Amino acid sequence: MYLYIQLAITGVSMGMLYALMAMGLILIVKAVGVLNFAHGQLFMLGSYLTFMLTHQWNLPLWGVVLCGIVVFAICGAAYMFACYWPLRNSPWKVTVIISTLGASIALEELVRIIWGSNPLTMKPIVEGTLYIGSAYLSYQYLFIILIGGGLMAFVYFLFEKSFIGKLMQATAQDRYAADLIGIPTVVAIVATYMISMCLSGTGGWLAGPLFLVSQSLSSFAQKAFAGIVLGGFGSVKGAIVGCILIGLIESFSLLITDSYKDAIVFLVLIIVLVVRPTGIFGEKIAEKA
Amino acid sequence: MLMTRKKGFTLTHAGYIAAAVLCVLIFIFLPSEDVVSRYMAKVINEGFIYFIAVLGLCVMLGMGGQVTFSTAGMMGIGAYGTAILATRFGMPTLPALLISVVVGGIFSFVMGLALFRLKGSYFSFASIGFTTLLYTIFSNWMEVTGGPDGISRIPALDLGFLSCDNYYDYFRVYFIVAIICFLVVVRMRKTSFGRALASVRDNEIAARSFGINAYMTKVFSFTIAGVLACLAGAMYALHAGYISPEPFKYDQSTIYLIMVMLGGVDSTFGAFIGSMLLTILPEQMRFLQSYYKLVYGVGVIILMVVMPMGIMGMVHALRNKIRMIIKRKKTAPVQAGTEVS
Repeated sequence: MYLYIQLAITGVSMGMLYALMAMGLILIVKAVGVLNFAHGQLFMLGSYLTFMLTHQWNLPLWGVVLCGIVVFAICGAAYMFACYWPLRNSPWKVTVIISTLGASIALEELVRIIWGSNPLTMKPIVEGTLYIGSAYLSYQYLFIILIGGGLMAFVYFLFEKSFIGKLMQATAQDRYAADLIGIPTVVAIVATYMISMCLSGTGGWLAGPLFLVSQSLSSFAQKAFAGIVLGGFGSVKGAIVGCILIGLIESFSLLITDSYKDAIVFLVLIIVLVVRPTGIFGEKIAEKA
Repeated sequence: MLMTRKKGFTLTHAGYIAAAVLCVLIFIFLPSEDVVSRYMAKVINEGFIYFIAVLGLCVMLGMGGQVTFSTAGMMGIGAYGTAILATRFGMPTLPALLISVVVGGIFSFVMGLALFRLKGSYFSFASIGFTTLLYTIFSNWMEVTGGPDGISRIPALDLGFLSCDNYYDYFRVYFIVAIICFLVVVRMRKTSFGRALASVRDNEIAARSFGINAYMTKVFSFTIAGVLACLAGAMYALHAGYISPEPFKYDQSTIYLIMVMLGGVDSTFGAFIGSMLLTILPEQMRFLQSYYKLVYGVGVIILMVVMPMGIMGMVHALRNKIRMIIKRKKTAPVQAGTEVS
C-alpha cells in the first residue's frame, strides 16, 4: 500500500517535470507553429545554469530564483533570435525544425565544453525525507509537485486572463492580423520563447538534484513529446495530463520491470495511438485547406 | 511536367552517359591501396551505408514532407536481424540480410499503419517514441541482442561468387547496391506513387479530393523508407562485424535528417552529397577536436538560413539562373518545370 503511494507521488512529480517541458513546447508550437527539438537541451541548460548559480556563484535560494529567471529569459530570447528569427519567412517549416536540431547539437556541446562531461551533483533544494509508513520520499519530489502546479496556474492566468496573454494568443492565432491591429508581434514571440525557456529551465533546476546534472537530462524531452501526443492535439491541458500519465506509467512500470520502463512508456503510447489517434483530450478539428 | 521531349541525342543524354562512365571508372580504379587508404575506404563504405538510409528519408521527407526520426531504429532492426540470424543461427549472410530486410519491411508497414493515424508534428513525436522503444529493447534484451555489449564476430558478407574479405571488396558491392537504390528512388519520383506522395506533401486535402488515399500513400512511403533503412542497417552490421545499440539511438536519426537537408531535400543526388560530406568531413576536421560538434551544430543553423534547399538546391537555382540568361539572349519562350533528379 505504502509502496503505491510512493510510486504515485514520484510518478506525479516526474510527470510535472515532463509537463513543464511540454507546456513550453506547446506554447512555442502555438505561437510560431514549429516544433522545438532542442527543448530537452534547454532543459539541460537550465539545470547547468542553476548549478552555476547555486554552487559556483554561491547565491542563496532567492538569488538563484531571481537570477535564474533573468538568465533564462535572456537565453530564451537569444535562442529565439538564433534559431527562429532568421528563418521566420522560410516557406518550408522543416528548415526551422532542422535548425532546432542543429541547435540541440550545439547546445549539448557548448555545455560539455563549459562544464565538462562528468555528471555534477547538486544539493537538493529542500532537504530531508518524508516517511509514510514503510514508504519514504525525499521532500524534493513534493517540492517539484508544488512548484510545477504553481507554474501551471501562473501560465494559465497569464495566457487566459491577462492582457499580455491576449496579445500572445492573438499573435499565435494570426500573426498578420495581429500586426495589422498594432500588436508588436516580435515582442509577443520573444515573450513566448522566454516563458518557454523559464518553464523548462525551472524543470531542469528541479530535476538536477534528483538525477545529477548531466547531458543525459536532455533525453527527458522524449517523454515530454510522448506526453504531448498522449494528451491530445495541441492543448496545454491535454499535454499536462498526458505528461502526468506518462510519469505515472513510468513509475508504476517499476513494479514489473526496471530496465524496460522506457519501452513500456512508448509501447503504451503506441497502443493508445492505435486505439485513439487523437489522444486523450483530442477532438477532431477540421483541417484548414 | 511541361518539358517537351526532344528527339535524338541531347545534352541530358550526354550527361547520363558521362555519369555512367564516371561510375564505371570509380568502380574500377577507386578501390585499390594506391588511391584510397584502407581507413578511407572504410569511411567511404560507411558513407554508402548512410546514403542508402538517407534515401529512405528522401522519400519520406523530400517527396512526402513527413519528418521522421525512425531511420536509426529501422536500421537497428536490419542490423540486429542480420547479426542474430548470421551468428546465432549460423545462416549464410546473404539470406540473413534478405530475411531481415523483408521482416523489417513488414514491421515498418505495420508500424506505419499505427503511426500515420497521427498527422504532421505528432507523427514526428511518435516516431521518436518508436526509435526510443527499439533502442531500449536493443540495449536491454540481453539474451537476444547482447545488451550494451552488442553482438560481435558477425561473419563477412558472402555473395557466393564473391566473399568480402577487405574494405575494397565491400566498396565494390556497396557501390553497386547504392547505385541500384539511387536509381530506384529516382525512378520512383516519376511513378504515380511518387506524384501521389508529392501531392500529399503539398496539399493533403487537395490530394484526397483527387482520389488519392493519403493515409496509405504515407504508409507505403514509410515502408519504403523502412526497407531502405533495414538494408542499410544489415549492410552496416556485416561491414563493421560488430554492433552495439549506440548507432541506433534517436540522436543518430537527427544526423540522417541533417544529411538529407544538407544535400538538398528535393534531390536524390543531394542525399548522396549530404551523406558523404557528413561522413567524410568529421575525419577531415579532427583538428577542431572537441569544438567540432559545436561548429557542426552552428553550421546546421547557418545552413538552414543561407541555403534552405541544401547544396543541390543551390546548384539548381544557379543553373536555372544561367539558363534564364541564355534564353533571354535567344529570346526563346521560357519553358517551365525542370525536375530535379
